[in-house]
Amino acid sequence: MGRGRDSPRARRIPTAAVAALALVLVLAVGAPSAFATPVRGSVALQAAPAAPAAPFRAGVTWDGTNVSSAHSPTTAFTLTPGQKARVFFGYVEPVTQGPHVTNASLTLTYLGVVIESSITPAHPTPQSLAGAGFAEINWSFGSLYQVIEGAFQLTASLLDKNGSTVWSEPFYVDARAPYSLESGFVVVLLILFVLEAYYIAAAFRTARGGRRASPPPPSAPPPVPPASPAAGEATPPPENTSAGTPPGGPS
Amino acid sequence: MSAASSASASGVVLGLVVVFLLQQFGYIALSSVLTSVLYLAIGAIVGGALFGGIAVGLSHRRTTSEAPSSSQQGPARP
Repeated sequence: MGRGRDSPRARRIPTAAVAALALVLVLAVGAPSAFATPVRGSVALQAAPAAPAAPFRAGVTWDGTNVSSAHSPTTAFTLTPGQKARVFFGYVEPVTQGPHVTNASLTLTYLGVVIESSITPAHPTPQSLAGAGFAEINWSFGSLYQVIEGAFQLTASLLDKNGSTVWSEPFYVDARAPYSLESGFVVVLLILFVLEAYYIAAAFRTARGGRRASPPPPSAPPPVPPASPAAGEATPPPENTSAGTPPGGPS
Repeated sequence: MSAASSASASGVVLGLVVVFLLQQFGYIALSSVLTSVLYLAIGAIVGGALFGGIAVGLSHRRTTSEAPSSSQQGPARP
């Protein structure tokens, strides 16, 4: 009987313990992210209180959208040919010491090679916040837009006076060539694809071709006519000579 | 050149082409060297192994299906 009364309590205590543990976990995981969210990638920097020893903060927008939303090729910003994107940099740096941002740059890399880079000077705004500033780049592919298509990585960076990177954030852009699918590289790739598929199909046909075109089973060898002494004369077939008909045939 | 090696070589090229096509259609980005080499190596290895293996399997099937038919033909004639 006692066991019957204890078992619901024993069932209730682990439930309460699990609930308390879940609450602690939620608080432990949620609190740092709640504090970190306004710090990282925030562009509305004027709303944040300016502490003297505040850490360096920066953010970039692409036509008004934070670039952290384009962190993968599938969520990349679409850039049509001839379009210019307005890339806005905002930052707050510590007043006492720390990096002094002088330039903002936007770099396009492909296969590890920098294809295009744009650098613009940063403008400090002493009247709003000490150590705050902004920069703006109207960015496009330039002359590369004729041949470039697909997903590319852009890196937004803030540079100090020595040219070293103070802060950077990569994001992705999906570029569209003027004729979209008819872009030259895509056409070459599609032709190569079809060609290689044909070669593979031919190799498969060769690999299994022996089964279809298998040689017939060996039969009796064909009769070999005896060698005639006079090469120029036409010898009548042996059937005709055995039948006794004249070589010229019945007239 | 055997059919298997031919299919494997074409499969390597096809794997590389597929990786570049995926980049062109916006599914992957070949930005850094490490990522690019990784994607291209995976495409080449998978393409070569897949189509080379299929060709080897097809030729193996042919030889195994030919073996009983040749044994049914009796002793070889001089």
